[in-house]
Amino acid sequence: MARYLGAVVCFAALAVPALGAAQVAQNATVRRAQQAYDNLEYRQVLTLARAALRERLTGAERARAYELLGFTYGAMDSILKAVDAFKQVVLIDPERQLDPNRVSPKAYSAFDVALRQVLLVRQLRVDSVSFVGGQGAVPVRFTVTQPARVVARAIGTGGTVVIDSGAWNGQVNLRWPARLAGGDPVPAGTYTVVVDARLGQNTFSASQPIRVSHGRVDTVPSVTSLPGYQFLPETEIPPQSWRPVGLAFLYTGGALVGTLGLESPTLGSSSKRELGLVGGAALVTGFVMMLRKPAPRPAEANILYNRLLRDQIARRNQDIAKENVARRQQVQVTVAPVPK
Amino acid sequence: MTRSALGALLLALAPRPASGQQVTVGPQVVLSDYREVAAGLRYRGTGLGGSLWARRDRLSAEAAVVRVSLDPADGSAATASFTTTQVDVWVAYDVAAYASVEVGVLHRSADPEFDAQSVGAVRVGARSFYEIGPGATVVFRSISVSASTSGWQAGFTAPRPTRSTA
Repeated sequence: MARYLGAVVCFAALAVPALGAAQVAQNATVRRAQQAYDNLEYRQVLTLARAALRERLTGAERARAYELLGFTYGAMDSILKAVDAFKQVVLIDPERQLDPNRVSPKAYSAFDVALRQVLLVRQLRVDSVSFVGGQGAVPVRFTVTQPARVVARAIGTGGTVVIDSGAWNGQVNLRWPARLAGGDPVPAGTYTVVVDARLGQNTFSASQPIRVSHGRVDTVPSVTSLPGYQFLPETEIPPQSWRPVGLAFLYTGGALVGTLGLESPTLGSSSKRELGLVGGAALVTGFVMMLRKPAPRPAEANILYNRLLRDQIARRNQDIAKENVARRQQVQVTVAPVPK
Repeated sequence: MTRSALGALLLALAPRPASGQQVTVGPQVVLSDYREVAAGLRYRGTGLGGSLWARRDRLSAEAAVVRVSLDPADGSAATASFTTTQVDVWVAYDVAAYASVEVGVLHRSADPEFDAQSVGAVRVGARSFYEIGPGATVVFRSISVSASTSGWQAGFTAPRPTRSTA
């Protein structure tokens, strides 16, 4: 039972590359090699794949033929031959990647060894990005399969700009500020990011076209309020009180006392008609004012708060104005990879 | 002081509204009880007038003109009516939010001229005022009059409508 289970797993692992091959191969010999591989007829696979390689093939078909050889040698435990076959695969198609979950460990390890024995620059990626010139950078990443002297350049309408250089191996992450030597942003246009790797006499280059465009930097709108802060009413209506009628009583009483107290006996008693009418009018007015809705009065605390808030807003707008002056002199650089 | 000079003074005091400045113009209704010592001459009457009041900070000035028609009161020995015109001018300085001291002059004339005494006087006094509501102020004024005859006079001014410009 254990042997049967192992056979099923092996079949499943080896059958996966056959699915992809059926979509690629147009050459009849390659197709027959693929069918032989699907039928686990490994010796026939070797014969047909080698025969196919002597024919005129496209790059994809040639890579597929070598890949069938690599898988077959791997299944037949001829690891060195499998590595040699996979070397040819990655030289033809450097971006070729095997899924470790879908191929046999033998084939995957042979493929991995082959990668380390060939100088390649793989998986060159330039991310889309937009930033203010001088305040950002373009992420560039790639993989070098062997320790090598690597130079990354951007070649385009604005000339050639060296992005970075060094002795690297494995995954490399670079950040390109997209600036010229003088500090100005690189001119807009189409560029090609070229990564050259050199190890002794071996060299390898990978490239990725990109498009650089310039735009205006958005200015910041001025603010009329601060988040979380609102202007408060600068007047408040005091509560109703009896104060108006009380004051009217007080003043009327004062007038009454003054008038009576200052009467001259020589002139006799004065008429009280005037005092009565005016005092009555004062009392009626005081009573009406007591019932009337009080006049709004300044709310000093709110006025002070609003003044502080206005000062803060004015200060913020001054900062924004300065920032906008600077932004109008800046350039928005947008970089996007162009499909090959 | 002539009336034209008084007008020029008032104009000089309030050349233009400024911060802390108020100008008030209003009509006046006057009730009058007029008595003279001699022969029981007693008159009562009503009249109309107008006032102009201006304030700048703690200093204020007021000018008022009233014209009152006086008729002999019941039991008076007087037989003829007359009309009197009184002009008052005050300058006041606020010593508190509701009180001020003031000096002023008054001139009262009668028409016909010799039916009553004409008076010219200088007045010194104090005034208390309080705004009891929007557009209504109650004022109490106590003044000392220095004229051909001296004496104390208490006055009381009813709440008056106010109109302000800032």
